[in-house]
Amino acid sequence: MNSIVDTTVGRRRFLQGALATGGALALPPLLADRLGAATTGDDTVLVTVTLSGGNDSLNTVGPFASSLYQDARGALAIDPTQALAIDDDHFFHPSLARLATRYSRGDVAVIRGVGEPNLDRSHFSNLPRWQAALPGGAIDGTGWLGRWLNHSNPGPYGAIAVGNRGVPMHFRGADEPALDIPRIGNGLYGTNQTHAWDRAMYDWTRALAGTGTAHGGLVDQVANATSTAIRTAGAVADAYPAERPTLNLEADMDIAARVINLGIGTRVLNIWQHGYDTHDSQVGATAIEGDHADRLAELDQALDTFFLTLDPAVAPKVMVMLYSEFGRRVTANGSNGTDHGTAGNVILIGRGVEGGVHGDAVDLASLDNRGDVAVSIDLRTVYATVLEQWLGTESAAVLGSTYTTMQLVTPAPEPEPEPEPQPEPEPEPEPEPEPQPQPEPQPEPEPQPEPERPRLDPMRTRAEEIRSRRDTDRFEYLRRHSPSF
Amino acid sequence: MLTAADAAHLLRRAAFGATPDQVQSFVGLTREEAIDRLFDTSTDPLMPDYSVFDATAAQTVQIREVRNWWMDRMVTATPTVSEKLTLFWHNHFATAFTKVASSELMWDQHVVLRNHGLGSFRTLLEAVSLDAAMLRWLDNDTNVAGAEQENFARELMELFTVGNGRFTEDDVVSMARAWTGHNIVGGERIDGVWRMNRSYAFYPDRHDDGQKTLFGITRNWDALDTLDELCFGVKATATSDYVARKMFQFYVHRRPSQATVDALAATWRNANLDSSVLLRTILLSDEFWAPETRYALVKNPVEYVVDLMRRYGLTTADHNFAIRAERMGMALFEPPNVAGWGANGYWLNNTASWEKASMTNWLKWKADDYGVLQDLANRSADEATDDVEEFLGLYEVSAQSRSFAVGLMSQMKNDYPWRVTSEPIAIGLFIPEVQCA
Repeated sequence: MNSIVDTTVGRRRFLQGALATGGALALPPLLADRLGAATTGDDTVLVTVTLSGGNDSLNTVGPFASSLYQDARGALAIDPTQALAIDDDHFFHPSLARLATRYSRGDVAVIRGVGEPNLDRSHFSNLPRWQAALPGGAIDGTGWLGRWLNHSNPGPYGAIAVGNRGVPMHFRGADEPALDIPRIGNGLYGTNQTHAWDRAMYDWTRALAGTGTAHGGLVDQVANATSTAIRTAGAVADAYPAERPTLNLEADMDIAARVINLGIGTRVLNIWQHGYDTHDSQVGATAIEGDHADRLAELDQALDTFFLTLDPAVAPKVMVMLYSEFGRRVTANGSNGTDHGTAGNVILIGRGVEGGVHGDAVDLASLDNRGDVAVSIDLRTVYATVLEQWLGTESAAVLGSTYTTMQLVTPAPEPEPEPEPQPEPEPEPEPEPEPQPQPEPQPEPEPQPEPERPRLDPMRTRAEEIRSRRDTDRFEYLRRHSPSF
Repeated sequence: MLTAADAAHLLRRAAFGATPDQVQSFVGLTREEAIDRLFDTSTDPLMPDYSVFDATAAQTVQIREVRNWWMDRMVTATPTVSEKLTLFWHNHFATAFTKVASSELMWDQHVVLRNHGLGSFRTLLEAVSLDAAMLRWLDNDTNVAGAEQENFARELMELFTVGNGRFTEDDVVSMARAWTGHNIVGGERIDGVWRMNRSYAFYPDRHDDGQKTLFGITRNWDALDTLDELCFGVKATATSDYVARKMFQFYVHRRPSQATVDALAATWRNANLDSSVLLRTILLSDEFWAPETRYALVKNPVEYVVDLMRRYGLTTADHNFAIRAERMGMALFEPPNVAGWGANGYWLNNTASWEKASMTNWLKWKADDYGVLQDLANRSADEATDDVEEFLGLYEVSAQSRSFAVGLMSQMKNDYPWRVTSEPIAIGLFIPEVQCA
């Protein structure tokens, strides 16, 4: 009865199966962000979530039932009966229940075997290479979305990094810097227009930034930074909620959604999630506990908050991209963890993505001399695809070379033959690839008195538990959670 | 002979800024004399024992106390090279409490950085590597033969010594093997409870004493041999280049020429990697004193905050300045990752700007309480700007910044004369040079 879903069902039947069993992990009802159809155009939004430290992609979405996987991973191997089956071969980590639900609706694309062909296993080389995405692994201080920003010029608030970490490298371009906004927005300098002396300070500060100083260089950059902060404060102040989620990641994703809702022309955003460098304590007493499970549970909750906070009218135009600097070694090290590896997953989430598992299966039978899987898809292929199909930009202008693309974005519905003044624009029958049997026609499985949702959902309960532990005493939390403490 | 501007520059870089009186005490000295004085660490306060902190408090409370202690010391100690250099090494061997989870182990490492920061780099490297906080931080406490853990092996080369691109993946494997068995006493699970002891221990039965090929040399490498090789052997040039460049960039400016770094590294190698020689050479160099080097770095948040605390005569007991720096992105003992904090442009972002503005607001309302710049009512805008600049240790301010300050001062005096006790300092703090070092 612990088995969440029959591991033999295919992706398309996953949802029905799960709904019908009504098992331990009943799926949440269809969510508000389901409304509307996907479109691409000049107002699409891309939200990158940087999973910092090197996410163990093999335990995030993996072939948990394969004997190769089970043998290679040993104590790290996740029991498929405890995981979330998405098709005959693939499972989501049990911490990712909400993401699995989105997957079942066709809103998640998992791209396997993605990496930097010129990789080394250093965080500090490989993350910049992922962020730069220049030919040959070159690094020149600019990032792929920063160059896109220069190329497409979406306006002063085109790129915003959320959280307290400044502007990440993939948002840096030759000019027109991306902006950062903090997690907590009280007292953003520049918003208070009440006092004349504040307004005078704003005016003079902006004027100084406009003229520059004899020192030039960093002194001018300081003047510009102050002026930019004053300007940004006015634009984003309304995005800060009166009450914010306690967990940092969830708070950051909540603000990101609110910034998108403001409609100030933000096209790309970044959020960091830290803690994926799981050299030790990756798993706990069982393979579905431990640091990695906790990180993924936080991510799952935060993604859900993000999509639920988005204005339903803009939600179809928003895509989330999860990426990390590398995957991890297939076999465990001596500390219940894994060392730095090679290829990982990119996961795209949103109404506009072509749901499913993309790319060749990760070949666990032929590892390299370090015991790592091969990179089968150049990360630039994924970026080129997102640039072309989602951001509507010629990718070579941004990436400095031409790369093949994949089909990762649902083709836009045929534009209606416009001019004919049709009396009532009949909603065209959606060109559904295969007519999906809707769950509705079935006699509703007895509208059982719905227990309050939080109770129903072990993941939410878990996230709350984590949160409350952290609130009471972070140290205690660490002590209990870190077997190595 | 040092001018006040020269002295202020030296004290901003080698220490954490100085009050006008402290600046004056350096005026007229030669560069050598001034630097000798900063190297005279006999005036440094004695290091307390960890028992000054409440070891029964929660770890998160203890680490805050340690952090406040260090910031207060930066504020109150007579300027020498000690505090800034210790911060440099803290950033170089960036270790975070988040993972180590023991305030006392963080303290022990801090003491190591202090004790060896001005001595042999080889000795420092060994002391840090065998330090329990580092063994925890980079997981060498669980690096055992047959189940190697590469984390420390890789970062030892990439971040602490030679830098990336100067070792191979095979070197990582061999380095990890050489460091097997160099763990922590009691670093093992006993009856389900992890015992975290306070010191390094070597376990011969966990050590791989087979032949290993490191940097193309095959022998039975052991941990300390690898440090010798990194410092004095085939990697001596790479290590001295990497560390000397990093120190130059921390103290002087972002873009040293290769020739500058080569000369510096050679001098350091000739001094058997005595770090006091390296630092002294940097501070004595013409590039350090050049006009274009003035304000050529952005203060990191701790530098920014400590400088202002000193001028106001405040400690963390008066106001939680540590949380200010933390909101700007820098909490001591909590670097964001093993590469430490970034520099310069890394600190220029909205988040930091807003926190600086918030702190400015606090400081201007408290100017009255602390008697800061309270006698400006009868000073002209020009004179008031002079006073503010002197108070903030600002010399060689650009003409544009100067006219910004004078213009604003003049407008404030005319339009809002009743705010003469609060606005001058705020205006001063919006002079961009304040954020630079």
